[in-house]
Amino acid sequence: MLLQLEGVTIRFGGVEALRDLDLALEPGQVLGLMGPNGCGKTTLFNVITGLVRCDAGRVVFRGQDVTRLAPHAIARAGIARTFQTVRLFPQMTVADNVAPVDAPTLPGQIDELLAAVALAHRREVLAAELSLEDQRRLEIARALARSPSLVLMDEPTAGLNARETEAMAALIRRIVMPTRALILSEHKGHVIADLCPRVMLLDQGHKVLQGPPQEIFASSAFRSCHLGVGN
Amino acid sequence: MDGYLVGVFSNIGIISFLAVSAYVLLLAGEVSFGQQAFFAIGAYAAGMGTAMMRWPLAPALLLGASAGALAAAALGRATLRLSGLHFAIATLAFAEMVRIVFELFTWQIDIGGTLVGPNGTNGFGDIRYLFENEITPAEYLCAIYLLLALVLAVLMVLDRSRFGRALRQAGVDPVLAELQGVPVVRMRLVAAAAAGALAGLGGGLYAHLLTYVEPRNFDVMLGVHSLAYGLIGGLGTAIGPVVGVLIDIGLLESSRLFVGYRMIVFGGLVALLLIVRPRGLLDERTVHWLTTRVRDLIDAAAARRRDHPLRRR
Repeated sequence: MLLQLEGVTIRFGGVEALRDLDLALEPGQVLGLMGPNGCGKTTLFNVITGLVRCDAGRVVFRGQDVTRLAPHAIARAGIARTFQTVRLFPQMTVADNVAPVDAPTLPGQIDELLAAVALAHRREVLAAELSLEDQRRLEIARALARSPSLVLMDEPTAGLNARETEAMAALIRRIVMPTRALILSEHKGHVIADLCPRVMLLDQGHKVLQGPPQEIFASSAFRSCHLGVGN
Repeated sequence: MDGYLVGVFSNIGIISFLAVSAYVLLLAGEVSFGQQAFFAIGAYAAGMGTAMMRWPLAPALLLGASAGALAAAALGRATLRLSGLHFAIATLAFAEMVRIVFELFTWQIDIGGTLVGPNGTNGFGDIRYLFENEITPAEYLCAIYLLLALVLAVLMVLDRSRFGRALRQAGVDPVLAELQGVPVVRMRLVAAAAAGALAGLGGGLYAHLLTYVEPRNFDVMLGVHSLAYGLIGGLGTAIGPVVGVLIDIGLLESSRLFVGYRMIVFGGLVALLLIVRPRGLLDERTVHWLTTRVRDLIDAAAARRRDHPLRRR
């Protein structure tokens, strides 16, 4: 087992952001995460990456309990993530955003990674000067630079148009999925259907359903909590 | 160079250490109003090294830098969980505490019939190493700038290293830096100690230039200035804070152009730059533009040499 969450509960004051959540992921597996805004998708990512400590339960990664580890230690253990709102170091060059700082890189490794996201020709440009689509691709390159075995992607197509969304989905399939496990949080159903053989539906911090995307989309629970439509 | 200019440039060089000290912390994302504390600790420690323990200048300066680093690391450890305004206030309170401790600190010993050493509010005089060893002001000026050049060179090399990038990442976005594997808390602690060492070294040089220091020399305004130098000069390169010192001491204070209005102009300049260039004159974007242009020029010159008809033949 690559990742295992057991009875994870997070409370922010009186609100339970995640409630007794279990999750299991094998190496190389892809899991889609869906649910309405505020259902706990980003909180789940924050728990896995160590940004938020859970009030109950534990997170086990590659057999190691990482529940109390600092975020940098979890990152070094092999978990990387991207953000719903693109998060880069804007005043650093594209290459400096990607190059890991905690380990030496092999010659050509960064160029190879930038070429994979079609940014090799912009390696010396400041990240702030890139378009949103390029920034999204740079964020993916940055996440992959440390060769993680698990990538968490928080709405990677947010703010992109139809063509860009299609290109982003193709990019994820081409460079993220083949060798790594992936948890993909996404609102766009066709992206989830395209990339994820298994989907977890969250509502109010609670796992409502888990299964193949078509089964989830056809369920009354999905229509109720995700689309706000009654049974 | 006449005596006045030697004095002005010595002052610029020494205060640059303090400015670079605050700059290192700014890179790590910490705003410190208390770097004058480590400047004072370095001044007293180095002064005690030469005047009381009769050490040569170099080990005494090393003592000043080490004392500054140790004190800064201790403060950094105590303020690990603080950031932003809370960290700034904590550093300010620490600096005032250090100043008051020096007002109360008396330890004098008899050297050749004269009592030498810190004497509370009366200060610490007779730090006469330069006179006793016939080091001229011009020679001392050279020593200051050699040390400053060394410090700037090291910082500029570090800036291009993995450590330098990690420090900048920790300063710009500590959450993202952590998720990239950067131990932000440890980086900030190292930055605090390094900044304390730089301030302590500057303080040691300062005490020997003036031969006399007193707690009043190390008040809040010195800390405010040291912080402002980085914000004026820019955070894109270690030269930025030195540019800030040059503008303040070289232009505003020493040129006599703004007699009586210096602080108004200085304050206005800081406010203006914070609005139009929040990361200073030599910010990351400007430094990146300059280095790209220089690299392009070098590449073009190399291409011209390569394609020269005589060479082709």
